[in-house]
Amino acid sequence: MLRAERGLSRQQLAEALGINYQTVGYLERGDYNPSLELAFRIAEYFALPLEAVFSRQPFAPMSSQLYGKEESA
Amino acid sequence: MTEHFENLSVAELKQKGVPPKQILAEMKRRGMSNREMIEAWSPRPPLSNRVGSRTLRRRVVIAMYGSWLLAMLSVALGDAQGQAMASLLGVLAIVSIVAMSLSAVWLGRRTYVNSPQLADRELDERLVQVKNHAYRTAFKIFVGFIVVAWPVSLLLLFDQPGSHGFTRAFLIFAGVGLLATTLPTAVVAWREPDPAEPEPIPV
Repeated sequence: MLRAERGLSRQQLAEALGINYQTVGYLERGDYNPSLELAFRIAEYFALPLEAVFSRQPFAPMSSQLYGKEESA
Repeated sequence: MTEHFENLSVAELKQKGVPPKQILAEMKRRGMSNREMIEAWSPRPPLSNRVGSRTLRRRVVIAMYGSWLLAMLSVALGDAQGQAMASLLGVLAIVSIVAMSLSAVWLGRRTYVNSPQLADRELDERLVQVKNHAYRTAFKIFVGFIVVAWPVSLLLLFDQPGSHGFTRAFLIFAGVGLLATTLPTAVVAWREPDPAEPEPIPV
C-alpha cells in the first residue's frame, strides 16, 4: 500500500490532501470512489501516474508482480 | 517565569495549577491561533466518544421517535380512560416529550451533520455526498409523513372540535416539527459506521 510504503498515517495523508482522515480509510478499502479531481490530487501527491494508484481491477500482490516477472523473464 | 513553561503542554500547565491568565499569556507567546488555544484549553474527547457507536446512535434515534409515538399514544388513550388513568397517561406524555427533546439534543450535538469539525466549509467530497444523501432521504420520509399527517390532523380538528382534537393535532404538528429538524441528522446517525480513531503518526 502506497501510504504505508511512504510511512504516512491516515491523518497525515488526509491533511496533505485536504480531506477527512476517515475518507482515506474509505478510499483504501474501496468503499468510496473519488472524484477525478481528488484522484489526480492523490496521484500528484505520490508523484505517480494515475493508473499506478487506481485501477478498476484489484492490484496483484507486490511479491507476485516482482518475482513473477523475474521468473518469466 | 515563562521560560519554565516552554516545554510544558497546556494540559500540563493546567495540572500544575498555573493561573489561567498566565497560561493564556504563554499560549499567545507561542503564537497559537484562537482556534488552537481553544483546542488546547479544552481538548476534544476521541471521535468515538463524541459521535458514539452506530448501535448507540440507532438506539437514540429509536428513543427519540419512539418517545413522540408514546406521547401520541398516551394522549389518545387518555381520553378513553378514567380520571386517574388519564392523569397517569398525561404524566407519561410529558415524560415522553422530555425524553424526545433530550434525545434530539444528544443527536444534534454528537452526529456528523452538526459536528463542528464538519462545518460546511470543512466537508470533503465524500462527506458532502453523505450529507446530500441524508437530506435526500430525509426529504422523502418527510414528504411521506406530511402526506399522511396533514389530512389526519385536519380530520382530528374537524371531527373532534375542542381541546381533544386540538391536542392531538398539535402532537401531530409537533411530530412534523421534530422530523423537519432532526431527520437529516437521524439518517446520518443511523447509517454512518462506527468511527475509526486516527492512528498514531509513524515515527
